[in-house]
Amino acid sequence: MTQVDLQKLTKIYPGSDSPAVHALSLTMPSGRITALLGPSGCGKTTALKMIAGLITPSEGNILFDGDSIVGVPTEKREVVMAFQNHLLFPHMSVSQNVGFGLKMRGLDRHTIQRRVSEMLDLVRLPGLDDRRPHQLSGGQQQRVALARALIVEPRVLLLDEPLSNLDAHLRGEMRELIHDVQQQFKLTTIFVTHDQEEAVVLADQIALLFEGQLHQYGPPQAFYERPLNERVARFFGGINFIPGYKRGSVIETGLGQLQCYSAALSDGAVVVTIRPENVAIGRNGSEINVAHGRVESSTYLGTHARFKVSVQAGNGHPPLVLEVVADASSIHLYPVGQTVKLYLPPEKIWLVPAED
Amino acid sequence: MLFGQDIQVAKLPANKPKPQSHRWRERFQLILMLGPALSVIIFLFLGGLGLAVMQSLGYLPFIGQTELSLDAYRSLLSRGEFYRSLLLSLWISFVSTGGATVLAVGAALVLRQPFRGRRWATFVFQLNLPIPHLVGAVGILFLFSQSGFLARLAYLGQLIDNPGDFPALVFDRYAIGIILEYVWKSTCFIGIIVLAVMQSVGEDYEQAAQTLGANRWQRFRYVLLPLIMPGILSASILVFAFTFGAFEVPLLLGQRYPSALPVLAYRYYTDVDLNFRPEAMAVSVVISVLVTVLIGVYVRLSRRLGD
Repeated sequence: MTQVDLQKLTKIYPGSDSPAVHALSLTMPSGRITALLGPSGCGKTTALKMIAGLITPSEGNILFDGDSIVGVPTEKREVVMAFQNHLLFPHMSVSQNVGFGLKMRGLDRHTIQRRVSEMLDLVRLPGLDDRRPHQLSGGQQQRVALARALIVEPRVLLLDEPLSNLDAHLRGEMRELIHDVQQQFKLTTIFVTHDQEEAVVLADQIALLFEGQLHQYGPPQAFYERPLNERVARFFGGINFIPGYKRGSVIETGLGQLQCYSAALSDGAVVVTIRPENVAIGRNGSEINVAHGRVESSTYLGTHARFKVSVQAGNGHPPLVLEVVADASSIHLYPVGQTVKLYLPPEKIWLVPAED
Repeated sequence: MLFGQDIQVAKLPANKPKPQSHRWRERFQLILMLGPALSVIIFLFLGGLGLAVMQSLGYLPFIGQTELSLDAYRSLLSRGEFYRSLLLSLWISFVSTGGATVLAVGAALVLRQPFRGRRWATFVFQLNLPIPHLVGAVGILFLFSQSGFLARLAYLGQLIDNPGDFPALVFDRYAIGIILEYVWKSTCFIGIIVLAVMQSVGEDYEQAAQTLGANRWQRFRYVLLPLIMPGILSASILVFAFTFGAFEVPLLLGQRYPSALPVLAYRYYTDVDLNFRPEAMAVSVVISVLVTVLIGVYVRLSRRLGD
């Protein structure tokens, strides 16, 4: 169980003007899973490799339980990294791959064999000891890579895009395995992903990075319910953004006055955001936060239906298009062209700062 | 219509076997393309080898000898000179191949690291690739012989009383001059191949090993070396076969007795007595067979070492 602290961690590659990672400060709690999330090129893998010791930081510090490990060589950090493309040693069998870390520590052959066997049982791959990596499927290779990492009982487990090379049906299985194993060993686990769904399902905490900078850090719900800015909200599937001006709990928008319980921002220019699944379509009875619009398109998605509704904005504002997600059966109730009533519940409305 | 529509199933191209005529055409094209290179190998190499085998069996129609026998081999195998030459050739080939391989892998390890001036260093490293062995041998002679540059330098520096006191590194018992020439010439050849293999392997596997606790030596021994072994093997086998069969450098830099096997064959071949011709050819055939066998053993040993 190790707490990992990043303090103003920065990496500037030689010949580059902008830092790959810029002043990243995070406290990753002991025994929990933290996701470094962001689009490709945002610096998340660089950050992971700095924790592993494979890349030297330009500035900043990395602490394990309060002790700096920046000067400690990779092989002595007790940090194991499982790579995106598994990187199983092709000239070794499965058992040799899994036992590699123990062999490097000079353990005797019998102990290695026993531990390898236990570990292959744990990752649900018994009996594959003598196979070579090329004889395994992608999912099996990923499990072997995980077993190889876990067998050395690291202080911190680093996973680089652990699910991205797997087929959709194997992802769920592997996700479950990583979760179970992490719970069993109570390992401080940090993983990198570009997939927000993967981060939400697996992680206790998410750090969202854009262009090497941290934009938000917190539990997964916060990214859906309380995004700190429009970019974060958009990355997490936010679509409805309505410019407005906040005065107390009332926001003047193109849809008219909207009531809002969010007190995160002071009065002034703001952007109102509400997730498509939180907009109610066709609901009667509400007097506030109501708008009328025309269904422009509808898409049936099996478990639910998605509508695009254009709302005529008042006070010289351009027309707004709101996206709404509703029950699948509502696809028959609101055909294209029909005028519908939309309700934006005050408790579901979130405000983010207006961008310049 | 959402539920009643026809579902179009994408038709994937079936992996049909090719018709017989196509396969014949492909084969014909292959033969046509490989033909020129194959004909050179067949006529020059295999033809020459066949002629050598025939002559080693005593088939010399130009002196009226057409009866086949193993006399040349019997005579050769009964001579101490042959065994001493064989040992010397094995010594030269193993030491020079081993030395060049070790130096080449070391140089490739350095040259794959990012450092300022790496491109220049790589360029300088492969500079001697186009220089012929003969030029190299003359260079070794100028540098390392007892009247050479180093001997004179040592004399001028009063390290030795006269140039003759300089250790015999050329025409010597241990064939040091020959080995030096082969190492000098082969290191860059093996090094360039190994460097290319190292670059294609990349550093990812070593990084994975490093996070698993492997130190620098362990990463080299257990990860990098087995991964680059095919490259090392193919390059060093070529060097081994060449050094075992080449005669010009041992002829220039070696002592007269015992001489390396190819020099022995050359001496027999150029003897005024034509009766030595079958023995010269027998030595050549023995060299070819030994190279083939030793390459087989070497491959097996190296693979086991790699595992």
